[in-house]
Amino acid sequence: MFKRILFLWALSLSFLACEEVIQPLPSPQVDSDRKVLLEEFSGGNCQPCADAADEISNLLGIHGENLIVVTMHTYLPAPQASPAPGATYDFRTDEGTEILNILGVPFGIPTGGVNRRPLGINDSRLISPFSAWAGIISDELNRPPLVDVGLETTFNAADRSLSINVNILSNADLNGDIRLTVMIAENDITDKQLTDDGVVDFKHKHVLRDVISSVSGDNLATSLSTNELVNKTYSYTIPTTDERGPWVAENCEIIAFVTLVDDAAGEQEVLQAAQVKLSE
Amino acid sequence: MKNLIYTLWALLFLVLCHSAIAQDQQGNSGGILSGNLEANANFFMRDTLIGAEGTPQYDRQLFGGESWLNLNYSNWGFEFGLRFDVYNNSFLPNPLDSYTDEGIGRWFVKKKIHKLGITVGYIYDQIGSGIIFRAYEERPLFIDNALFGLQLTYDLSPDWQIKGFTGRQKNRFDTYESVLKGGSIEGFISSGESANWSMAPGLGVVGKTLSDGAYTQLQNTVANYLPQDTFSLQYNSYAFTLYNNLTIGNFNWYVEGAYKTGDIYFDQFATRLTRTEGGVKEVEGKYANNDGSVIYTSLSWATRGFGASVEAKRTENFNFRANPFVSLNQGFINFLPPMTRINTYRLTSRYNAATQEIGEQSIQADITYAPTRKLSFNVNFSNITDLGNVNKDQGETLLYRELYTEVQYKYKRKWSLIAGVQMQRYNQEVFEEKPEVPIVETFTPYFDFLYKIDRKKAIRFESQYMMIGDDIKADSKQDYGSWLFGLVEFTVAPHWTFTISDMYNIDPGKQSPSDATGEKIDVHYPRFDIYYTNKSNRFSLSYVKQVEGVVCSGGICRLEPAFSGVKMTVNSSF
Repeated sequence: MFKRILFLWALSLSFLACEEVIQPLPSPQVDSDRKVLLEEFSGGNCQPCADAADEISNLLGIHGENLIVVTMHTYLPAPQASPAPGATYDFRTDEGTEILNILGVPFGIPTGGVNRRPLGINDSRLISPFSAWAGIISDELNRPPLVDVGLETTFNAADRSLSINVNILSNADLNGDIRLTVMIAENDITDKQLTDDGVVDFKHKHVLRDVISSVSGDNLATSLSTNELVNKTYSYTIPTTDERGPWVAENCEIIAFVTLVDDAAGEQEVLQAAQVKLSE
Repeated sequence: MKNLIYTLWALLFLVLCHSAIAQDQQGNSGGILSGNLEANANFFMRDTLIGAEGTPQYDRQLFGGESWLNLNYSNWGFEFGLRFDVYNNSFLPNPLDSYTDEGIGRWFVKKKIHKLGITVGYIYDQIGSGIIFRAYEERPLFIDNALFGLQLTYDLSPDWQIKGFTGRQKNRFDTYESVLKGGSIEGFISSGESANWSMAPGLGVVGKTLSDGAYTQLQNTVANYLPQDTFSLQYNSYAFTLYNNLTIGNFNWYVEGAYKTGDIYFDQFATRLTRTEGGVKEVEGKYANNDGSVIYTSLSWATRGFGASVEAKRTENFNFRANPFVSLNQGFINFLPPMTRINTYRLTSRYNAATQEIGEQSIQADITYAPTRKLSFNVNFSNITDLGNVNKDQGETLLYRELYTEVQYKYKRKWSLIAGVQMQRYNQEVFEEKPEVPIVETFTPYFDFLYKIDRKKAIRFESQYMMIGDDIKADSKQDYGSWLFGLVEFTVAPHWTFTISDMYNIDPGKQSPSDATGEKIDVHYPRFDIYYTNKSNRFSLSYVKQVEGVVCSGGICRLEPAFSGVKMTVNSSF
């Protein structure tokens, strides 16, 4: 009996029979033409959202211009999505809420979509926790862009008029519903945010102000051949202020991205993105 | 493909059942077909005052439900099982979202060949108390951690059994990609029929191999950390456990010790440095690669009219999941036993201590004394602290403390009274990740009076009054403030039960709803229920208004939203 038990226990130790080959960590910096879009969903009354903002700074420090971030405050029916107590502004927008609805319904915030691809658990396009963004962004940087997006802006400070010129050059033969989305976001807006240290004045970054194109993207083409060029222009006037507070033009940035959309399947992915700061 | 699988399974069951009926007609059937049905239907009625709004169910779907039909058939030494699951606009997986899917939620085939037992399919099982492995189902929490794979058992002797298994853990109608394998040896030792002692020892091991996808994602994630926070990663991790249940006379002593080798998990309390525009900053939450341990023991003694038990548990870094990127109640490989009393009254069960995987030490004691058959007393005490991981500079932090007392008196068979007081300290900041909130303090007297009108009819009254401490910073009562709960239940045996209750926010707190002027409102949350039972069928129809709550874990907050609407349930077994 004892021998039998000993034998079986020894057999179970065969679980540990081989020592695993440990692989070195890859370099976080990826040499890529790809610009990855991170659409973050945040809230003023959400303490982990402040930590997510720090993580975004960290990721921008690593990936630089290869990472494009837009932070959306939405009307998600959760107390965390509301402005923090004592906040001067309410950053929530209908457009951000509409985009969140396109990507799915999260367990909570912070959450984020990377290139609108189903890269989260259970093929969700919303990825939580925010600590998981880094690995997915690195993966996405290794995927070559199927289109190039050139983005130029002309801003007239006197009348705050903005002209946006977007050139899209296809790197492959593409078929399907190809759309262009153009947004405006603002950096360095100081207002209240719930953090580990309670509600404090916080520098909000990449805050979505408006979607200049249609929210689901303007139709660009139903097919593109390799090296085919498409151009789109937009005109926009940057408000001096609205119900969400003053707009500081030099802190604003324009984001443009091309999506391939399959409405019937409820799927889409960002093929490439671009960003220009108005202060540049 | 999915339809083909359903059809094949349905055909297999039809063949089996038809075969059983045919044999029955010939009078030689050995087959048994059994099963059960559970079905829930929710009709949503928007109530903006309590926050029952904004989800797809309130906005447009108006209806949601779930059902599980479980069929078991045994014959020819085989056991077959099949469960069909339906989720229609269900809020179970995510209370903010609507989930619709249906399919075979479980199937299995089981056969015993002499001493060898074979099971394939979706398997529910555990090793010891589940600390290193537990595959189980908890429908209200949307937990279904069945192991999809193969399990073999072998009877070494009538009292000793060895078990081995491998497979992947169920994830909705799919599986996680990580591969699990494990085994255990369990036995029973006693000194003979006349002896007053026995032992049931066991030991087990479980191994997890990460999928390539999860490993690569983890590598890319950790590579983004600053050098001092990075670590090398391994695909495999193992958990071992050794346990024994010793019975000597009226004493029973269970002890289990478990150890987990280096495993990658998300530690929401650990800190790391991140790059910022101005340099570096320390933030909370990082992936870690640490070994872990749990030690759990339970000692009980019972004699005529007296029973006492003491439990203790220490947990360190024992987050063991099929995928390190899942959070909340997803992907658990194991189960850490809770160390608090399971309360059932509406208000005494409002604040619950969720098991802490990263660090926890807890103790629970329970004493029951019944001097006569009419009178009994019960006292339960539990205390849970962390291991100094929550506030690293302040040492151990109190997570939960409860003192629960109960007196029960039965007068003949005419009436009975249960009464007592509960006191709690609940660390809302840790359990719900709400920053800057004080430890919730509750004091809740309660009573439960049952009066039997005649042999068939009975009426029961229940009430609790939960007094909540002050939130000095917020200059208000803590959380939702104080509550008064009352219930009247009228039963006509054996079929009908009618219940009416109200949970009244008698002294609103910081989280209570406000009116247009910002004044807190003392809201009523009424509920009406009708239950009808006929043999093995049970039906219920309820009108419910339920207060909201927030649950957070791993940096993600989840709203358990307020509910307003009508609920129907059907339970049946055959």
